[in-house]
Amino acid sequence: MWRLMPGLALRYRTWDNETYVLYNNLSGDTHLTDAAAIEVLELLRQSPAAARSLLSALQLDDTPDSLAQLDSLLAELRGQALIESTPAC
Amino acid sequence: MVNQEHPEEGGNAPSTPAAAPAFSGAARRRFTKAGAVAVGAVLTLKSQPGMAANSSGCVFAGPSAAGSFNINQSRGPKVGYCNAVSPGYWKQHPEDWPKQPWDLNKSMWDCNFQTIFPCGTSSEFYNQKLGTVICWGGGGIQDVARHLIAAYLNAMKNYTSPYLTTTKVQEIWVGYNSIAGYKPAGKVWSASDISDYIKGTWGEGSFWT
Repeated sequence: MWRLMPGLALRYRTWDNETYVLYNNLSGDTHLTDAAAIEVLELLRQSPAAARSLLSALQLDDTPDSLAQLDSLLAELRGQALIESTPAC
Repeated sequence: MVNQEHPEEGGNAPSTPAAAPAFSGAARRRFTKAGAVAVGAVLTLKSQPGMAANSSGCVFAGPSAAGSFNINQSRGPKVGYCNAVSPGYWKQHPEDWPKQPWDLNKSMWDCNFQTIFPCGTSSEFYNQKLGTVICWGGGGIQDVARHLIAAYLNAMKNYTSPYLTTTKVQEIWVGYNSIAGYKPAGKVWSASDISDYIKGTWGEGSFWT
């Protein structure tokens, strides 16, 4: 299961709906990211979710390739301390 | 001020948007591109440990971001980092002004305003030197003018490269003075919007707070 880092305010700005500047209030970092990452973060803001659930929510086909790309994105978001993985109940 | 932003408050509380947000479907579009590969989706622009949540950082992106950078290719410590300086700095340091590219014996200080920023002969700016206009202290269009002059000089010095170019600065001026106004992404920017945006290049203004 993945979830937003607790306390993350998820503040961002965009000019073109493609590129986003995201401020992490927990770390003080500001990130340049894209709409896909924001979409994932917004979904996780609504509720924690497993990768396969995210695939469905993102209207992605449940294929190994899609899952691999999503896993890569999630790993990147985790690497920036924007999300964290939690044990599945 | 900007065409889309997340509500400032609410922590992790779910939102109930009235319409599909602009990023809806972005992951699908990205992941289903032919030959798509995993690329960096998140670049850290500026790290300021201990920075207050509402502080503005020197974070920068082109007003429309159209073609000004490619998120998948821009890497390196300079991405998003600005070294721009303010109109006040340029006003106080005429010796730092770049030379006129078309006449290297002359400073941009002595360049006529309309050479860079189109305006009519009846305009208060017509035949005024950039070095004169940047010293004017009025609000509204004068505020826009001196901030865009600073932005233009910053771009000439590559302080905001590649995010805000001289051409983009001119576009802002032309758009601001057009009937439709300057609309980088569908919303007209006011004079203060433009000034705040430019101020963001040296870490001031309210654009990022």
